[in-house]
Order: sequence, then structure tokens, then C-alpha cells
Amino acid sequence: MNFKSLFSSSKIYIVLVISAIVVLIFIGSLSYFKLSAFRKASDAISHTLEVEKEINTLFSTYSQLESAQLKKLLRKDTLVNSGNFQRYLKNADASYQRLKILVSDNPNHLDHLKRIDTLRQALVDALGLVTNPQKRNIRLSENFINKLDDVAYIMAELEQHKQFMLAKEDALLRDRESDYQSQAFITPMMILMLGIFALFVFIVSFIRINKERKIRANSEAFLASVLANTENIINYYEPVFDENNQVKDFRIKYANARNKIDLKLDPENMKGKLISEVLPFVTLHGEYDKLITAYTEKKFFNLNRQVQLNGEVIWLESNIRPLSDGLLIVAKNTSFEKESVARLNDLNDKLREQYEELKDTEEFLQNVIKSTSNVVSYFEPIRDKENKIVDFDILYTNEQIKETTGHIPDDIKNKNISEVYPFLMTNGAFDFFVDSVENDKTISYERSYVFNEQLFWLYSTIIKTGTGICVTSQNITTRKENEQKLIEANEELKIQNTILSDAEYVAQFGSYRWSNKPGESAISDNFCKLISCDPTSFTINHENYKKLIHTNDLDKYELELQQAQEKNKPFSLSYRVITKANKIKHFRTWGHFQNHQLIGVVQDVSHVIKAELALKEKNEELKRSNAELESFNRVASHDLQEPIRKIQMFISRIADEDLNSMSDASKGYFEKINSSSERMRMLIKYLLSYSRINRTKNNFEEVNLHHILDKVQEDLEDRINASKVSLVIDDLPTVKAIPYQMEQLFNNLISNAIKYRGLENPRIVIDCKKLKKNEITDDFIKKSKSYYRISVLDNGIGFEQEHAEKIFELFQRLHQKNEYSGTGIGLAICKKIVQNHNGHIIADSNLGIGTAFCFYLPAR
Amino acid sequence: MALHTLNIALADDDEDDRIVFKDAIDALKIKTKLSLFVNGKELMDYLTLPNIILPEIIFLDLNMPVKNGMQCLREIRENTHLNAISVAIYSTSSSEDDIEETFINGANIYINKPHKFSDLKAAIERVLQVNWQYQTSILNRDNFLLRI
Amino acid sequence: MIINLKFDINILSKKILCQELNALGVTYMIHGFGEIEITGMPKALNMENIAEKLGVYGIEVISDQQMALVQRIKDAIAILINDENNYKKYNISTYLAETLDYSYDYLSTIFSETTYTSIGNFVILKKIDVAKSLIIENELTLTEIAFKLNYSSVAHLSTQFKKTTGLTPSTFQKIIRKRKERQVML
Repeated sequence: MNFKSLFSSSKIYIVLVISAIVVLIFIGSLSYFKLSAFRKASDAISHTLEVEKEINTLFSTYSQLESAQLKKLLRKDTLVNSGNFQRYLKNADASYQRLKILVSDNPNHLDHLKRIDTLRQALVDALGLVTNPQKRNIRLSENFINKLDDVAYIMAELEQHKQFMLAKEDALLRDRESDYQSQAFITPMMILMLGIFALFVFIVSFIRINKERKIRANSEAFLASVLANTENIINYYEPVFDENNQVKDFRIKYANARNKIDLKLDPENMKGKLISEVLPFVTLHGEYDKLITAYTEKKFFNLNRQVQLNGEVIWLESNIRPLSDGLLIVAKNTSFEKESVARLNDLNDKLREQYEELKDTEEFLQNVIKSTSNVVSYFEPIRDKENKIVDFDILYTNEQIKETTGHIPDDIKNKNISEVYPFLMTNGAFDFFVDSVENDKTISYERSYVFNEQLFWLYSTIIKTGTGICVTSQNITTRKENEQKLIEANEELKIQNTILSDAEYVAQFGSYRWSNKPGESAISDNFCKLISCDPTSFTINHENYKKLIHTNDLDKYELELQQAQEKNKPFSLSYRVITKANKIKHFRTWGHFQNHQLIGVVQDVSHVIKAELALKEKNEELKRSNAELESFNRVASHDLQEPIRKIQMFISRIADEDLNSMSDASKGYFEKINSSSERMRMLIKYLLSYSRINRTKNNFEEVNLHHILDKVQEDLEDRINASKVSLVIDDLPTVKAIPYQMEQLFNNLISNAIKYRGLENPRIVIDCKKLKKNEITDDFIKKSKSYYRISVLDNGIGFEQEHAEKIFELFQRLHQKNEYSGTGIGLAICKKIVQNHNGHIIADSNLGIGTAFCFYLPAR
Repeated sequence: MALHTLNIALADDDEDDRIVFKDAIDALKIKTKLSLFVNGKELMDYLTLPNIILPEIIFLDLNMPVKNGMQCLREIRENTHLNAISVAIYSTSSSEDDIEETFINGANIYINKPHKFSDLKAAIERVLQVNWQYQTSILNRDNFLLRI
Repeated sequence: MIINLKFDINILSKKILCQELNALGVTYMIHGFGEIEITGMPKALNMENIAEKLGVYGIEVISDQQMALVQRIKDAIAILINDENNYKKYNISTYLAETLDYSYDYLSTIFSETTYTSIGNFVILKKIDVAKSLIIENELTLTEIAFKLNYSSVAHLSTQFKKTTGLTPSTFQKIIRKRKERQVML
């Protein structure tokens, strides 16, 4: 609890004042009682002393009385001394009376006094006797002496009473003195305390009052300033009464400065005037009555109306409040407010719209954050004692982080980046974060990371948001890779450009770009060289270039270009140019139109043209020789076969009809004619089939070699049986081949094996093996991935390996004609057939042991 | 066969071949009537004459002056009157292309001119036999192809 | 427009035959395999008239008894070959002997004498003819055709095909296909 406020609170203050008064009264009354006790004590002492004095006075009077009597007695001078005695006695009685009054409160003393009174009487009596009867007697009688004794006795008794009373008074005095002593100490203390307390209360009150005074001064100053500066008109009216003690008007006692602004009235002028004069509008619409009611019935009113004053209409909201003996009017010019309210309403509407929008936006933002391909995170800095940022707390990360680092947002939430992304501490990102937070900067940077063994390039932007930072990271790996590729491609392009320029030179190429716009046309350096021109002395454009074109070719050139442009097609044409060095060159150009530019390359084909001419001549020659070959084929196939066929036909007829009538010699000759003609027929036949092998390229079909071999065996059945050759056939594949050529191939090879068979156990083995391209050691062009190697093996006479290649040549025979019949074409046909099937054939032989013919056919 | 005489036509520009062919036919047991023509035109002129007995089979040499065998074949196949006639090509050429081409153009038989008289006789006999079967039996003439 | 037809000559012939004979007023009984028994004919009509009428349709009246028998042999063979189920059960000689009620030797002699070819050759010719049709229809593989026609293997069929026609089945198929492409009329 705030003590100060408690102290200053009015309730407590009142309690304090009351308690202070109570304490004051208490201490005051206590002091009063102590004081009166003190006075009583001192009175008591003085009383005691008075009593003692009176006692002493009384008893001394008695003594004087006695002594005076005794003296008279002794002097016998009666005359002179009898007056003293009487005086003394009177004194003694007066003293007695006084004492009696003094000790009236003390019964003990009164008892003593009664005795004393008795004793006085006795004394007086005694003394009176002594003096009167013995007047002239020198000698004192016995009676007299007795009398004297009585006096002494009384005196003694008196003395005794005196001692008693004095002792009593002494004791009393002692008591009263101690009482007085104590009272003498306590009473001033009480008075001092009272004084101190009163002083304290006074000081407190003074401070308080002074404070109050200051507060009031401040309040007054504040009020004055409020009144002066408030936007409200604050006026104070006091009523003016008529003769009937009825309120008839109000006088303006106070008006603040605002009147001047809102009502254009000088507050100083207003003061002291009647409101009906100054503010005439109050008389309208019953306002006046309301003012009176407010005053008389101490009611509170609110008025909100439009008033007209000095020709101006304003909205005025007045607050009428009775205050002491008058009315406090607080009014406000609400004209502006009214407008403002309207504006405010608009504003509110807008604000609401904006809020709705904002809500949408927020949702949108959430969606954006969720659906964005960027990683969006919010990090809050963590500071050490020295307020230095040492780490960041991950407050938020969107789902996209999964795609990147593989983290799950909820798992890493509220963890530190040093823990989750330790690499950020070392790759400079952390420094950027700190910089962003400390300097309120937006920072962007690119870094590469390896997440899950995959290289990522991230482009991150740090934006300080609140106390933390919002980090948005975009995966730019693809872009980076592309950039890298682009760089590589650029390098490549540079190299290629260099190569191109070299290539241009080597290949006699030049490139050009013709444009309608001046300055945009360009030709490559090598083009310049091709037309032997100096680029400085030649304005490069199409028109100038056309001047170099041979006049005979220019029309064609223009026409071709025009057509190419109309059809928007690439073109290619040849023409001649006359170079600056006056040399005629043949150019060939390829080009196309692109954005009204003509782009293309030109090649110096002069040497090609020359070569072409030579080639043309060669071609013509070839055509001629081909035609000759064609006619040879025709001759061979028909014209040459016809006569031999006829010869054989007639031979057969002669043989059928007249052979028996011939002489033996003639029969021999006839047989020779027959065999020669047969040989010739065979030669022609083989030659024909040899020449026809490459003419039937498109007759390839799926051929089962087993079927082929079946047929061949059938064809050769007679010979196989006659030669007693055993034929062993392995599994054979189906190949893509020309069937009759395969037939011919096997036929020839098997015929060959039969022909050159050995004498004992002739045997032919045909086997097949599939080999991959790289498993084949024999050297030939291998287009297929794998091949069938088909071998025809025999145990025949064989030949020397050195002839292995020669035997495949046309008309090459290793043997004498009469030894073995043959044309020397068979194996050449085999080779041609195998080659025709993109294969290869080899022979491997050992003289006297056997031969292996192996051929390769492409397998699929 | 015993009841019937086969009408045969041969168009060949080579006189020797014609003679040999006739000899071969005559040597067969089959009863035949052979008409010989020296070129394709003569053959076609004859075939388009009215009121003639059409041959059952025609042997056509391919290489002939004026009108060659292939032309004759096409004309025969395009003429509905001559459609039923079997056409045997009788040629020296053993080119597979030539053979295929004639078959496609409608030839039924392709005979390489033999080198021996006995072969010739055998060939003609077989042709006539097979043709006979096609003409007398329920065989599909559309599919009548024979290569000798 | 060209349409391809496949027709059964047996049915066709029989139909025409019945139609013509009915028109002539001949009463008859069909015994099958090309044999008809004439049970009655109008007086004005003789055999030559009938032969002439039927000749228009290529139907020949075979006067010779042997020729008639040969024809019946051919018909029987044709029916047997087309009848896949029975063909496999029967030996051709047994079949012919049972069907025609002649000894096979007799039938064989008659056939050879009249046609210059043996029954065996004719069967081959007929089988290859069926094979040709099947090849052209191109619905069955050569293996299936071989099985259908009771060949021991494809090679056997191919070999017999080549021997009979001088062409391989594939060359044959190619030629017929190209013929159709070029619309060569036969």
C-alpha cells in the first residue's frame, strides 16, 4: 500500500486530526491535573509550614505568657507587668484560633488542640493565681510553690503537645515534600510533552496546509489554463432577480477565452453583462426556462442545437450545471465534430472494409506462406548479458522447410538456429541476421547448402519484423545450375566461335547478315577474305555485295531470294562472284530470312565446282561403263545363254538319235564338245548369279536356316549319297536374309566340301555360335551388336593357309581343271552373298586335314 | 485325254526353238494340235480372230521382236475372252525378278528353256499334265502357278 | 469394284444340273460324285440334247465309263481332303476302295491310264491346291496348314509345295498378293 496516498487520503487525514485533538486534550488535561496536584502539594507544604509556624507561634506565646508572669512574680512589680500578660494571652488565643482553622482538616491535631485549649486555661489560671495573692510577700508560700509546679507541669504538657504536633506536621511535611518533589518533576515534563506534541501537530498542519495551498495554486493555474485552452466554452452565470425575487436574467460572471473562437465574443466584454444581451439565442426554444429550471431546481441539462450568432450558424452542445449560486455552462462547438462524425462514419466503413480485407489478406498470407515454394521462417534473437546477440530462436517455419532441409516445422519450433542449422553460424548468415536486427536492415544473400546429400542454392532475404527477423529463402538451385550451365555454355560458345572461325577459314566459309537498316549488315572476317576485300574500303551492305555478283547470275540470285522471302523458306543457291582481286569464284550460299534480315553462310565452292566437273565426267564414264555392264548382263543372261543352250539342245538331240552311229573318236570329240558347252553354261550361269547378287537388296526376309539346309540337302541329295559324306548340322538360327542367296551360299559351301572331300570318312559339320561384337576377333566392319558365326567344317584335302584369301577371288582356282571340276566363281559368290548380308567370310585350312569356312551374319 | 485334243500355241521368234518345241510336243503321247507364231503380234492377231478354237495353253517367249511376251501376257489377261487360257512363259531368263514379274502379270507357268531335248519334253509333258488337271479337276485356277 | 468370292463348285454344279434337267423334263436320281441315273426323259429328247444343254455350264456328260470313274475318284479325293476329321483317319487307298467299291489297284490303273498321272500325284496336287487357298486366306500359319493337311512337318509341306509348284509358299503368297494389288484379272 502506498503510504503516501493513505496519508493524503481525506478519511485518514480526518482520523489523524481527531486523534491529534484527542491526544492534545488528553495530554492537556493530564497536565492540568498534574499542575493542580502540584499546586496542592505546594499548598499542602505551605499549609504544613503555616501550621508549624502557628504551632510554634502558639506555644511561643504560651511560653512568653508564662515567662511574663513569672517575671512579674519575681519583680513584684505588678503594675508594670500585668498588661503584657494580657497581650500575650490575646495573642495566644488568636494564634490558637488560627491554628484551629488551619488544622481543621486534621482531627488528630484538633484533638491536640482541644487538650491545648484546656491546658491554656489551666495555665492562665495558674499564672493568674501566682501573681495576684502573693503580691507583697517576699517569701513564697507553699501554695505558691504548688502553683508554680502546676504551671511547670502544664507547660511541660503543652510542650509535649507541641512536640507531638510538630512531629506530626514534620511527618506530613516530609510526605508532602516528596509528593511535591515528584509533582515538581512530572508536571513540567507533561507540559513539555504537550508543547512538543502541539508543535508537531502544528508543523504537520502547516506543511499540510502549505501543500494544500500550493496544490490549490497549481489547480487554479491548471484550471485557468484549462479554461483558457479548453475547446469548450465555459461560462458562469449568476442569476438576476426581479422585485418578486424571481429570476429574470442571468449575468455573466465568467467567460473563458474559447468564447472568442467559437462565438466571436470577447470574454472580457461579456463579463458582467446579461446573457439575453450577449447571447440572444438563449431566449429561443425555451432555453431560457431551462436555465431558470436548472438554477431553481438545481437540475442538470444538456442542450444540443444549432444556434445563430452574429450571422453564423453553428452547432452548439451545451452542458448546464448548477454550481453554488449560479450556473456553469460548458458548451462545445460541434459543427466540426458533426462533419467529423460523418467523416468518421465513412472512415469507419473504410476501416471495416480494410479490416475485412486485412482478414482476407491474413488468410491469403497464411495460404501464401503455406503454399509458397519459399522457406519462410521467423527468428527471434537471443542475447547474452552484454545484450549481444548470440543465437536465434526459431519461432516459425513454414512447411516448405521439409522440401529443403527435411525438417518438420513443429519439430524445430522454439529451437535455436545454432542447434538446427549450425551451418548458419559459420557461413555468414548469422552475421547478416545480427546486422539486420541491430541496424533494422533488409539483407539478401545467396548461399549453397548440402541437405540430404543434395546441393541446394538458396536465395534468402532477411527483413526485420518486430523484434525478430523474417527470413525468406527461395530455392534457386535450378537457376544456379542454369547459370552454371550458361557459363559453361558461354565458354563452349567461345570455343565454338573460335572453332567456327577456324572452320570458316579451313572450309572456305563465310557468314553474313544483310539488313535493310544501315549499319546492321555484317559479314565475317573470312567472308571478307573470300571476296578479297578490305573491310575499310567497302561499306558492308547487301547492295554493295550484289555488285560483286557475276552479272549472269545476279538475276537468278535476286529471284531465288525473292521467292525464299515470299515463301519464308530457307534457300540455297550457287552463283559466281568477281572478287575485288578480279578472280571469278563459285559461291554457294545457304540462308534464311529472319526479322527482315537475311542471315546465312556462303562457301567458296570453286574447288568443289571443279571437283564436281571432274566428278561429272567420272560419273558419265561410270554410267557408260555401267551401261556396258548392263548390256553385258543382258548379253550374258540371254544372248550369250541362247547359243549355248541351242548348242546343248542339239547336242542332246544328236546324242539321243545318232550317238550310236558315230565312230568312237567322234564319240570322244562329241563328249568333249558336250562337257565344254556344259562348262560354258555353268560359267555363264555363275557369272550371272554373281552379278545379280547385289541387285536384289530389298528381298530380305526372315529365313530359317534349317529350312534352307533342308532344301540344300535335298538339292544335293544325289551327290551327298554318291560321295558318302556324312552331314552333321547343329542348331541353326533364323536370320534376316535373301532366301535364295542363303540357299546358294550353303549350296556352294557344301558342294565345295563335297568336291574337295577326303578319301576316308568324309564328314561335313555345320555349326553355329552367337557372338557379341567385341568377342569377334576377325577384322571387318561390325554394324550389328552380335553375330552368328556359322561354320562349315570338313575333313577334306584342305589347302595352304596362305591361299585363304585368294580363294574368294573370282576365277581363282587352286587346282587343275581336270583334277576337280569348278568354275572359280562359287566361293566368290559366297563372299559376295555374305558381304551383301553385312557379314564376313573367312577360310581356315590345313592341307590334308580339312577346311573351315566361317561366315558371320548379323543377329538381332 | 483320250477323248480330247489339246490346242497349244507357241510364240517364239527363234525358228530353231519352234522346231525343237514342235518335235518335243510331237514326241509326247498326248494328243495335241500346235499352232506356231513368230512373234507376239501374230499370236495376238490370231487370238482375236473370230470363230477360232482358242488354245487351252499358250507358250510365250519373252524376248520377241514387234510384240514381246510380257505385252502379250498383259493383253491376254485384259481380254475377257482369252482369260481362261493358261499362259506358260517359255524363256531363257532365269532372273528371279523376271519370273516374279510374269507371274504377277498373270502367267500360270514359267519354264526356263531347257538345255536338253529330254528336259524339254519332260517340262512340256508336266505342264500339259498339270494344266490338264486344272482344266478337268476341281482345282482353283486362280492359284495355278508352276515354275519349271 | 472388285469383290472376292469363294464358292463351292459342288453345290453350284448340282444346283445348275438340277435346274437344267428339270427344265428339260428329265427325271433322274443323283448318286453323288458326278453320277446321275436318268430314270426317264421325253421322247423328243436324246442324250446329245442333254449334253449340249449342260455343256453351256461346262458340265460334260462323260460317256466313257472309265472317265466317269476317274471323275468320281477325283471328287472323292477332293471331299476327303476338305474333310479334316476323316482325312486323318483314312489311308487314301482304303478310303477310295471303300467309297467307290473298286479295288484300289483297279482305280489306280484306270486313273493313270486316263489322266497320265497317278492317284498319289493327284492327291498331292489337290492338297497343294488346298494349301494355296489357305495360304492366300492368310488366316493360318504354315505350321497350322501343315497340320490341317496332315503333313508331318512344315518342311515337308514346303518341300512338297516347292516340288509341285516350283515356288516356295512365301514366294507364292507374295505373287498372289501383288496380283491382287495390281488387280490382274485371270
